[in-house]
Amino acid sequence: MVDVSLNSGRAFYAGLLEALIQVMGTAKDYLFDHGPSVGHLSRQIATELGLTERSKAELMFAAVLGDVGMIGLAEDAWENPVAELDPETRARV
Amino acid sequence: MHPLRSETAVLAIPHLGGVALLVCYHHEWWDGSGYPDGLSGHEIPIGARVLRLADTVAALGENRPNRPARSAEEIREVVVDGYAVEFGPDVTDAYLGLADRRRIADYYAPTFYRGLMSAAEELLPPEISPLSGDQLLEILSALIDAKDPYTAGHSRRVAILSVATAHRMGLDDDMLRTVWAAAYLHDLGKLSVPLRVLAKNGPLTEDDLHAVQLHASVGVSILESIPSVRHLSPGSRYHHAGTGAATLRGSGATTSRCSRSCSR
Repeated sequence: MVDVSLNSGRAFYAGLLEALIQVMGTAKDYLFDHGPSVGHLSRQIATELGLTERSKAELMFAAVLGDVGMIGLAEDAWENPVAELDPETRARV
Repeated sequence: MHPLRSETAVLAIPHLGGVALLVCYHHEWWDGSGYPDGLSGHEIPIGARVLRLADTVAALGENRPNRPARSAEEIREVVVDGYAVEFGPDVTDAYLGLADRRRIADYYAPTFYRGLMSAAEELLPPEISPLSGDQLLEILSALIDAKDPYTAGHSRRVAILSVATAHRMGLDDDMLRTVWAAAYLHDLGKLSVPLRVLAKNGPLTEDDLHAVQLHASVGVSILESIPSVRHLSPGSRYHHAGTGAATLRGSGATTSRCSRSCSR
């Protein structure tokens, strides 16, 4: 687990990172568990493939942060499959 | 192109360089038909292909506004079809092996989040400079501001004004640091307000107003759940106190008054 001495730069940093991940979860109801469940499945596939602990850690973070770039895009981009978006919105996604 | 936007955001987060690479390439396909760079085969990092498959499987298993969740058989078909097209043989075989032996553990949020914080332990160096924390604050505020085009740069301006005010009030260095970070995050909960409300042209409905007023408490419940940033929460909770969103009381009053008077 992360260093619990609350005044260390590391604990503060890890806390902010956790806040970022949690806030990603509130961005859209049905996406609440999507990133985490992608991370959960990715880690198991990575273990099956024999990838390193570091690779697995990177995968879990990539899964929860992968859609961070969607924040601020039109909300219909979250709700529709890419193919059904108008061309302008699709280019932004 | 959201993978590139996400990559830019993740690249800016100190110590997560390897993560940014995976984020960038998680929509590349084995046959070269993906985006953003059209990489193919082993040019695509294996981790990015694992993400592609896991993203597909998880998404198909979820109910979405425009379609219901797919059955396990339908999901398996999609994965098999993607063998030499989307995911590549190694990753597809690994997943199908797990699925066919029924070895895939059910998702359980608390376990996952504990694992995630252990993963942070794996990725973060033993010592982290306070500057990394500042950089992360800057990124979080950029995301908050990205959600609302009318307030670009708002969080940083509030932080600068709040610290100047707090300094003038003669507060000590620890308090100045708290005011600084709390002001950066005072609109954290805004990320949970639907864009259609934030960008609405015209009067807000009752529901819209409720969503907006809720934002301060969403931000605060996130901050309060995390021990190492809990001290920032009063500034976020009470920054609209007096306008009806929350009641002002307790030790956060000073932090909160600093960010409130500067966020108008």
